[in-house]
Amino acid sequence: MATREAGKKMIMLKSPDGMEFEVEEAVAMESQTIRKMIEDDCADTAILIPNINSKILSRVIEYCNKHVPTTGATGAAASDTVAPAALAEDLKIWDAEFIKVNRATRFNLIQAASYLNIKGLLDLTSQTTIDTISDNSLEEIRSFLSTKNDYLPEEEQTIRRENQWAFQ
Amino acid sequence: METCSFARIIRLQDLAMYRHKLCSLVFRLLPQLQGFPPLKKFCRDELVHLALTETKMVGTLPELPRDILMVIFAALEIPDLMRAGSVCSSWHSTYAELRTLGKYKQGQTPCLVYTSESDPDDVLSLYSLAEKRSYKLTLPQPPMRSRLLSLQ
Repeated sequence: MATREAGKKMIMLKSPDGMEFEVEEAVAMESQTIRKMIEDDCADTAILIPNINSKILSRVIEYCNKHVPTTGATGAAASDTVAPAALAEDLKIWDAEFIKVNRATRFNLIQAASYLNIKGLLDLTSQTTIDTISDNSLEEIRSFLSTKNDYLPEEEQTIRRENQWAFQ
Repeated sequence: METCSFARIIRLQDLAMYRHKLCSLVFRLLPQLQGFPPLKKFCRDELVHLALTETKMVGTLPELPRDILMVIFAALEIPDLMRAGSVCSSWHSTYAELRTLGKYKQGQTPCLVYTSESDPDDVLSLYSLAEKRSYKLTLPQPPMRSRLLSLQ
């Protein structure tokens, strides 16, 4: 339910495993999906976020909290004293730390970012996967992403032969 | 889309004017040049295979949804895309779909396509600027080099 705290409108988000998260409206609106709900006045009661468990949802909120425009949650004081470039640099370092998670968590974050339509988070998480794929051999990609090779040996042969040059 | 024929190679000259298209042309033509069956046929078998394996994948690590995988694949350089498309069957079918739809990265880093006298006649080389390395492709007869020369 929407309450007021320190003059800011709060939004209640609920994960399917029953956890509730109270976040500032500005933070929640980092998600275009939730923004639409708020704009359409569908956010008076707690918003149930299906398919995203509390562990992932709390990480997503952590991300939104950090990325909300600086006049909002991260405090006006910070933006007054720090140059925007330094702030962006800070955010980059923070992002790099944030994304140091295992493959399962990262894939869950991608799904959450996609469902909630948070562009920055989707870009960040997908880019990490793109970087993993780029310039690595097939075996490396498989082991980094712990993706199972579900081919039969002869199928793999066919596929490899089809694009043999890319495996040099 | 997959009905490219050798005749299109003859238009390579014209393509010099549209250099950004060259890479995708090579990409689309390769299977044909190398004498492999069109991708579509392969793709259909793939779907059947996928349906069989899907059930046993449930309960393991989360899989990336197909649409997101498409977005990721669409950002890859072609050699990377080729490798990614071979990781597992679901990735392969996404890769095949991406190719069919022509949705792969349009702004590819240019590749230099060349033949070299030190290589056999039927070898075409691709130098990838993105990876700063070269790939060698063996094409079926007639020799690639004479085919290109006959265009002049």
